[in-house]
Amino acid sequence: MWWWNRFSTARFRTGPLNIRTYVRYTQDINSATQAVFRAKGWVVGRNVAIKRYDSTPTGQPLELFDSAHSRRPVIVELLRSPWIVRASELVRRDGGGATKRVEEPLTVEWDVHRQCPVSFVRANRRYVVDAVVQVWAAERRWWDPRRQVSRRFFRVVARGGVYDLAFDRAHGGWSLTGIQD
Amino acid sequence: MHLHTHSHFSFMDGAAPLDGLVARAAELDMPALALTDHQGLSGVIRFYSACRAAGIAPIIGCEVVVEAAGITGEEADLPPEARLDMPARVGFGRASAPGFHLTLLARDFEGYRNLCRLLSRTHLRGAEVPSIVRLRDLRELSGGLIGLSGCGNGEAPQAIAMGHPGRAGAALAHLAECFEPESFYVELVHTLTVASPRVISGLVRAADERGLPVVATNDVHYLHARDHRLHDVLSAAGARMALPGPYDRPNSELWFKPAAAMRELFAGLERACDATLEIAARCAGFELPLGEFHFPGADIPAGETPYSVLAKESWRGLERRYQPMTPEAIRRLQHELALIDQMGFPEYFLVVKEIVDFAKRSGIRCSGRGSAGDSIVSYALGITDADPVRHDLLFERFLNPERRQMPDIDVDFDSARRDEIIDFIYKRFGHEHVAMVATVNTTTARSAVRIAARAFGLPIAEVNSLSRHLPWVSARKIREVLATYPECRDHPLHDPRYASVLEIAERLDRTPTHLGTHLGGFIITREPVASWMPLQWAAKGTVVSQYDKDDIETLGLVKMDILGLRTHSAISQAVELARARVGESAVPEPFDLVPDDPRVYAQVSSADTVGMFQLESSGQRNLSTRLKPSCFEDIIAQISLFRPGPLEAEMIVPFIRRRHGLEPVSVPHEGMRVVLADTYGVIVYQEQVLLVARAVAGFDLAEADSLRRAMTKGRSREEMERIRGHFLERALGRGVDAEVAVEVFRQLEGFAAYGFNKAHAACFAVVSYATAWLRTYYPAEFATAILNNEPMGFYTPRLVVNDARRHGISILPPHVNASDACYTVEQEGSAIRVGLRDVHEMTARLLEVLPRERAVRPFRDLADLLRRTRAGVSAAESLIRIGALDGLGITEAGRPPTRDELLVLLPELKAVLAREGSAGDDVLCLAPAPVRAAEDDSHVSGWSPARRLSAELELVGLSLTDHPLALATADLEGRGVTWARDLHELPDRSKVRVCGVRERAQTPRTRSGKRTCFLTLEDPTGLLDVVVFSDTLARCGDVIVKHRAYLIDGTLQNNCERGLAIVAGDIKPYVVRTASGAPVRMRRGVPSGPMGPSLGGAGAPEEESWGGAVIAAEERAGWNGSGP
Repeated sequence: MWWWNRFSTARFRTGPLNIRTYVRYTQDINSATQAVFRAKGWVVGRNVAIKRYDSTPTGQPLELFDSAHSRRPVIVELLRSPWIVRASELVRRDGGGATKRVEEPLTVEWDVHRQCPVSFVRANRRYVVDAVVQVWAAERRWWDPRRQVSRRFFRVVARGGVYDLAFDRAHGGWSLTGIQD
Repeated sequence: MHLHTHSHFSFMDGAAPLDGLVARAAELDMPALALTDHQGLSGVIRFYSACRAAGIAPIIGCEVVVEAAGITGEEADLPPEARLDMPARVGFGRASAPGFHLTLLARDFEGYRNLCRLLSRTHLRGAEVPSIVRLRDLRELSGGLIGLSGCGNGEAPQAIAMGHPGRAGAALAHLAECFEPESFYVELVHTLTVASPRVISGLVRAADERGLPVVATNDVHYLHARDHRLHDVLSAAGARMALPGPYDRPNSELWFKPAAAMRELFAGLERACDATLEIAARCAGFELPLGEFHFPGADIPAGETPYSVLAKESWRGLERRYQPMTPEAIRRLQHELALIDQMGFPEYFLVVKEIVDFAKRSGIRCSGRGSAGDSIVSYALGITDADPVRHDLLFERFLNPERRQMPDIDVDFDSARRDEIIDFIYKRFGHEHVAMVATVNTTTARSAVRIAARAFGLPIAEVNSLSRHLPWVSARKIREVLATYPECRDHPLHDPRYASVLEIAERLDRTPTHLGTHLGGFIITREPVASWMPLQWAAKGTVVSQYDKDDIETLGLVKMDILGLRTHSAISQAVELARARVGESAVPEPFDLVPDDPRVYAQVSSADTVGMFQLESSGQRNLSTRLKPSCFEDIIAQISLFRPGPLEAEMIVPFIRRRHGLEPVSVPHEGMRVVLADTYGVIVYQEQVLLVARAVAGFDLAEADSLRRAMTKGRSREEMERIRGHFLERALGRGVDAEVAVEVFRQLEGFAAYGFNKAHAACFAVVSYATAWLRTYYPAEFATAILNNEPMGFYTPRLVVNDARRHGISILPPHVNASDACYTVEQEGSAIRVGLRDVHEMTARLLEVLPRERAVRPFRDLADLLRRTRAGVSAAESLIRIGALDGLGITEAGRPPTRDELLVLLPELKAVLAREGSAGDDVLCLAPAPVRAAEDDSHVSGWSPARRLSAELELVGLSLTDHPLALATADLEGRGVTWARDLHELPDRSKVRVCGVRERAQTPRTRSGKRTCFLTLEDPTGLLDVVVFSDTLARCGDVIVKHRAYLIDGTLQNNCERGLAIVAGDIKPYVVRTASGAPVRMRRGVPSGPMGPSLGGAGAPEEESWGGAVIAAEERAGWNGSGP
C-alpha cells in the first residue's frame, strides 16, 4: 500500500517532521484505508495499536513494543494524532498522569546530515530512535540568565515508548525531558 | 519566497530593516517579496523602490485587524467556553487595534488603491473607534486584493488551537466570500511550537472541505533568528510592558527563512509552498505609476488653460514689481514661462499663488523661501520677495529642464495665524483632498536606551537617569560617546549591570518607532487622498497620511509646506505695537522698506543683533564684527557664509581677508572675475557654480546645474572623473588654458558641495532686514513682540529681557493692576511690562478674570484680589512671590505689607473666604503669625535683591531685578574678571578672566573631526563668546554640562580676521551666593501655568542637569572658582 510504504522505518528517519503524514492520514483514514484494514482482519479505529494489545492481567512484558516492527503502529497512531500534546504537559501536579516529566542529562547520537537524533543512551542502555514525530523550539526569558530557556525539543519513538529529548542551545547539552509509556 | 513579512514599519512589532529584507531576498534568489506591515503601508514606497532596484518583484500588502467572521455578533456574546482569546493590540497610535489578523496583498494598482481606501476608511471611522476592518468594507473594497487568512492570530487558527474547528471553517468561508473568486488563501504558519502541526492539520482540513487553497508563510518579524531579542524588546516597549511583552512568543522562529527551510517545514504539503509562487505570479503585473506628476486642480476660468492664467497673472505681477519694467525682467519672464509650460507645472504655481493670495488678502504675513526665490515667476506672483534680477538668481537652480522633478515652493506664514491658512486649504480643495504629511520618527541614543530600559522592566526613575544626559547622537555611537565625551564620564550606563540595555540600545539604531506629523507639510490631490495612500488620525486630532514627504514626492503628488514662522508673528506684532504708540502712518511695512538704512547696518555690524532673524546666533554676531555689512548683498552673504557647508569649506576667512584688502582677489579665469565680483572671487553660492561653468566651459545653465548636482550628491571617484573630463573638454574647446581649466574645476569641485543657495539667503535677508530695522527703531516693541512669541530665535527669554535692560529699557515686574496676560510696552516705549502668562500656577481662568475685574476697578489688596478673582492659594502665592501684589494694601504700620506678610496672610484669608464666602475690610483685623523682619526696607517687598531675583528666576524664568552676576560684582572684580563690554578694547592674545551664565553650548561638526564647544555666556554687561577646544573640553566638559555659571581663564582673540572671542584655557564653576551664603538660582525651577508657552519658552522649566547632586556638591566643596 502506498501509505504503508511511506511509513517504512527508513522513511520516518528522513526528517524531523512530516506534515504530509498528518494531513494525508487525517484525511484518508476514515475512508478507503479503513476498508483495507477490515479486510485484513485488523483492528481499526482510533488507537489501533493499543487496542490490539492484550490487556489481560496475566502479565505484560516489560516493554510494550519490543521491536521496531511492533512500534510501527504506535508511530502511525502518533502521526495520525497531531493533537497529542507534549508529554511533559500531561504530568499532573499530584505526580500522576500519563507522562513522567524528567530532567535527565543524556548522551545523544546526532545525525548531522538528517539533522535529527539517531539514538540516545539512558541508564547505560542504548535506545535507537525509530522516528522523530515532532520537533519544537523554545526560546524564553533570554533576558534573565538564571531562568533562560533555549531549547530544541525532539519527540521520538524508541523502545519503551515516546521520549522528549531536548537540546540546550545555550549550554550545548542534551537532556531527557519527558517519557510517555 | 515570503508573502507575510513585517519590517520596522510595523512600528514596535518588527525588527527587520527594509533594506535588509530586500537584500536578503536577493541573496536567497527569491523572485518576489511581500511587505505586510501591521495596519499600514508606511514602508511600501521605499520597499517598492528598493525591490525594483534589486530586481525583485515587490508585492505590496498589509496585515490588518478584522472583525470576527466565524460568529454572528460579538465575541463577548458567546458563552465563555466558546470564546477565543483576543490577540493583543497591533499597530501604533490611533491606527492600532486588538483583534484577529488578516493578510491582504495587492494584485494590481486597483488593489493597491482599494487597500489604501480600506485602511483609510478603517482608521478614520472615528478617532476613538478601534481600527478594525469591517467585513462589509472588505467585501466592498476587495477588488484587486488577495486575502490570506492570517498568522496564528487569525480567527481560524485561533479557533482550531482552542478546539473549535466549526468556527474556523465558518470564519474561512465568510472571509473567502469577501474576496473575488480564487483570491482567498488559507495561510499556514509553522512556528515550530507544539501546537503548530495540530493547527496546520486543522486548517488544511478546513480548507480542503471548502475547496480553498492553502499557502505557507512564516510571519517574518526579523531577519535572523538572533534578532528575536530586538523584536521582543520592541514589542514589549511598544505595549509599554516589561519583557516578555504582550505576545510572549515561545521561540525565535519568525525569521526570514530560506525557501529550502520553508519547504522542509512543510514537507508533504508542497502545494502550500507552491502557492507562494502562484500568488507572486498573480501579483507580477503590479506597477506603481512613478515618474508622473499629479497636481491638484487650480481654479481655471472657462476658456482658459492653466498656462494662460499663469502667464496673465505673471505679466500683471511683473508690471507691479518692476517700475519701470526692464528688458532683462521681460526676457527672464518669457524664458521661465516657456520652461514652466514645457515641464507641465503651471497648475502648481497657480495653486501656491491661490494660497499666498489668500494670506495676503487676510493680512497674514508670509514669505516664500528656498530655491523658489530663483524664479521671477514666483517673484511676480508675490510668492517670494527677493528680486531675482537684482540678485543674479538663476531659474535653472530652481527648475532644471534637464531633470524633470516636482518643484518645491516653501512659504512661511505668520505662525499665530497659520491655522487660518490651513482652514482655507481644507475649504478650497475639500477635506477629502487634503491631508498632512507624516514623518517617520526613528530612535536616537536617548530613545533607544529608553526603549531597552523600559522593556527590561527598570523603574522609570532609573530609565530617566540612563537616558538623560546622553548627547543627541545616533544609538550606534553610544559606546563611543560614553568613552570619549567628558560630560558622560560619570554616566550610569558605564555600570556593567546595564550591559544588556546598552547592547540592545545600540542595535536599535535608527529604528522607526512611530509616525509623527510633519510640522507644516500638506498633501493636496485632485482625486481623494485616500485613493493614493492610507490615512489615519494623528495624535493631535488631524488626518495624517501614512507616507512621509519622500514617499509623496516619489508618487509625484503635490506637497505644500505651510510652515509657521514665529518671526513673522513677532514682526506683525511689533509693527502693531509701534503703530499703536506713534501712529498708523508713522511705521512703514517692514517688508517694503528699501534696504539702505545706515543705522540698521551699523547695528548689525556692532553685533548688537539679539532677536534679528538669522543674524543673532553667536557665530553670526562674530561674523558681523568681521564682515561689517553695509548693504543688502552683505546681509545675503552673511546669511550664506555661516552655514555648515561654507564653514566646513572654510570660505569665511578668504572672504573676509579679501573684503578688507588683506589679500588680493585672484581668480584663475577672467570670466570668473565678473561672476564672483560680489564675493571677492570666492564661490559662496550654488548659483555661482552655474555661472562659473557657463563662463569658463560654455555650459548652458541647465547643463551647469546638472554638473553642480552631480558634483554634490554622492559622487563616486569614477563619476567625478567623468564630470572632470567633460568639463575640461568643453573648457579646452573654448580655448581656455589647460592649467586654468584644471584649477577652475578644482575650485568648483571644492565648493560645489558646500555652496549655499543664494535665493534662499536672499529670501531670508528680506526678513532679516525687517527685524533689524524694527530692532533699531522700535527696540521695546520688538523685544516685547519676541517675548510674546517665544519660543523663537536663538536665545532664551531671559537673555532677551537682559538685553533690553542693557539697552536702557526698563523691565517692569508683573503686577495685578498693570499686567496683561502678554508682555506690553509702557512709558512711551521705554519700558516693558512682564505679562502674567508666564507666572507659575497661573490658570487660563485667572488670566481671563484678572483684566476683566481690573477694568471695573483696580485691586486694592490681597483680600480684594482673592474675593474678586477666586484665585487659588498656589496662584496667589506665586503672584505674591513674584511681586505682582507689591504695594497693595496697608498695614497697621501705615505701609503696604511685605511679601512675607502677604504670604502669611494668604492662608488666613483663604480660610475666611471658604468659611464666609467673602473677606472684606475686616481682613486687616486678622492677626497673622509674626513674620521675619524685612531684609531690605528700601524696597516695598521687604525682600533682598538676591531673594527677589531667585523668586523671579524660579517663577517666571527671567531676571527682572538685575542680572544674577550683578549681585556678585564686587567678588568678581576682586578676582580680576573682565566684563564683556570691555573686551573689545583689549589687544589680541591678551590673557583674560571672564565670568558668565551659560546661554548656549554648541558642539558643531568641524572639518578636523575634533570636538569643539562654542559657549555663549552672558554677564551683566553683554554676551561672551567662548571657544573650548578639544583638549580643554576633555578636561572641563563635565563642568560645562553640570553647571550654569563659570569663571573662565583664557586668551582673547580680537582681530578682524577671526573676530572677538575667548579661547578657554580653564573653566571653573561659579556660584552666586546671598549674604547668608545660600546659592542664588540661575534657572527656572517650575513650569508655568497652562497658558505659558510650550517647551523652550519662558514657561518651561530648564533641565536641572544633574542639578540636585551638583548643587549639593557645590555647597559641599564651597566652589567659587577658587575650589578646594
